[in-house]
Amino acid sequence: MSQEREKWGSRIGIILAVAGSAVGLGNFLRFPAKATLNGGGAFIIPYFVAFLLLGIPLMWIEWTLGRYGGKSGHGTAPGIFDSLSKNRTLKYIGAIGVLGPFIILIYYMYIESWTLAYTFYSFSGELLRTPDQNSMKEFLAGYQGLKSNNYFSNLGPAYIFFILTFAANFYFIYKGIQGGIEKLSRWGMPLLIIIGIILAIRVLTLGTPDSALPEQSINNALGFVWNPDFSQLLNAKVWLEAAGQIFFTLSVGIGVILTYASYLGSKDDVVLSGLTSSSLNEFCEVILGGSIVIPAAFVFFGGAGAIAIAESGTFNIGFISMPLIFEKIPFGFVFSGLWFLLLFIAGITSSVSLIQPMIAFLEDEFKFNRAKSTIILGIVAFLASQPAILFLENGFLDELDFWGGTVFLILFATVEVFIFLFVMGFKKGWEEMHSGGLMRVPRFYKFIIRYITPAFLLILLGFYSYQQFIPVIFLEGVSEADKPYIWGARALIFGFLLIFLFMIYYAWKRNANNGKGEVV
Amino acid sequence: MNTGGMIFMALSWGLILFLSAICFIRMIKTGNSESTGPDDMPD
Repeated sequence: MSQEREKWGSRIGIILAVAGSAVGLGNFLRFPAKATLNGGGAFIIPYFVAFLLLGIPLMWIEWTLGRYGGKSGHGTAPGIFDSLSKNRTLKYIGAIGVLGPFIILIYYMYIESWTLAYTFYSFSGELLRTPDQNSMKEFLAGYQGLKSNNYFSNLGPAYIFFILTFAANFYFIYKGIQGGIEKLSRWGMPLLIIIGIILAIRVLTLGTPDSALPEQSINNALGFVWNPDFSQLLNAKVWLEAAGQIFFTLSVGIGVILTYASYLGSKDDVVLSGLTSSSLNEFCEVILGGSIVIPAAFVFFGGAGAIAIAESGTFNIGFISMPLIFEKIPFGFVFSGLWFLLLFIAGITSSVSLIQPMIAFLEDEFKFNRAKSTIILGIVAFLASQPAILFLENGFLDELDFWGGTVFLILFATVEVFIFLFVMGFKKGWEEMHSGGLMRVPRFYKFIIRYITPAFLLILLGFYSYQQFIPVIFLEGVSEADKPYIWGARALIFGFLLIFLFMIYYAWKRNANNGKGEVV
Repeated sequence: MNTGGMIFMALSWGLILFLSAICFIRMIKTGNSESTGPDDMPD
């Protein structure tokens, strides 16, 4: 017997939940680095263009498809795609929309647990006793179990924080949409914004900390981030980097917005809600994210140091450079603790959104109850997370990130747009989008959604294929010792893909036999 | 920070704050912030 699907308790609840899913580590670490390395203030031009032409349309499409699927009791891509057409293969293509978030989930929770651990080590004072960059790298390597050193002798502490993070995630999932995810978002997002504002104010009031280095002032630091270099606008790579940043920051193309929107009522607004959650994400990214890391790095390490930090990659910025910066500020342990707490909140509101699609798939297509779905997925996700933890130094986690966090995202977003345009049909999709809408989408978006957004996505797909996909797929620059682990990660992904495809086949066959679905 | 930097920062912040404010004001003006469910709203 089919059970009643859950619903969001309030409009602000789903807006905060979607914004929570979108606001992640990338808002505070990836955006400022990208902006600094790609033209400063000038970067914001292609960034906003991509926001208007790619991000917003994709957001509206995903909200619309999700709410549409919810009407027929489907919260994930296989069911939603299948409900749109008699074509039997569409539901199998939808497997990417369940596999993608699951693959991201099995490594993301481990990274999230580092932020919880660093919150603890910051407030305890232990982290800020590391005197320099090399020591900070040692601290991180010891914590990750990459080496045994003065700070850590084994993976034990990392494992404890991973289990705590894992348990917290599945607790909120077990409590359901209203009692878990919505409650987490309603408390978490305001707290995240308050902490972000505190940290931004602290950085923006740093003045000139070292009077012997007057050029390293906060005014020059903001200039370092925002002074426009218009010559960069002639560089196609800058435009594609901006498009990529918008794409990843809004959490479109993963499948989580589909699932979240499926718990809306059939006449609930999606246009204004989608725009509000996007604007909240932009607030966290441009205003808060742009005011913390790079300005602080400039003030303490100068322009060359800030560029080196921006080029050092997300993890180095977050886990090595930032604690070193906080060491130089009075009561640094408090600000360091708040920084990692901010990252943890950003992480957990994102990771619960990655769990929910698979839960929805089990509930909607297999009619499992919440407890059964949570237990089954919890066991599978815990086991699947182990290689990412144990083989971190061999590139296992990076390989999962490449497929789950990049390839599947862009592929699935492209699929969604084409499903919206050619399977649902643009006219029906446009009407569906406005059903219950609290605002109308400007008419020029008809042209943008039909032509510009798909073209933009295909260009992005081509760019990533050229720049990243081909070199990574052919293992360029991977040592012989690491190759078995990379193939192991691929085997894991492929194995899960086969399992999901079989589950879709089995669920539809079973439901057809029960008279509840279509033939396989 | 030069004038260009100030302009870009002010415009970016202003645009995002304006967009956020418009969205939230519009939501508040529509009154019901509770999710309506499938059958509670008129066509």
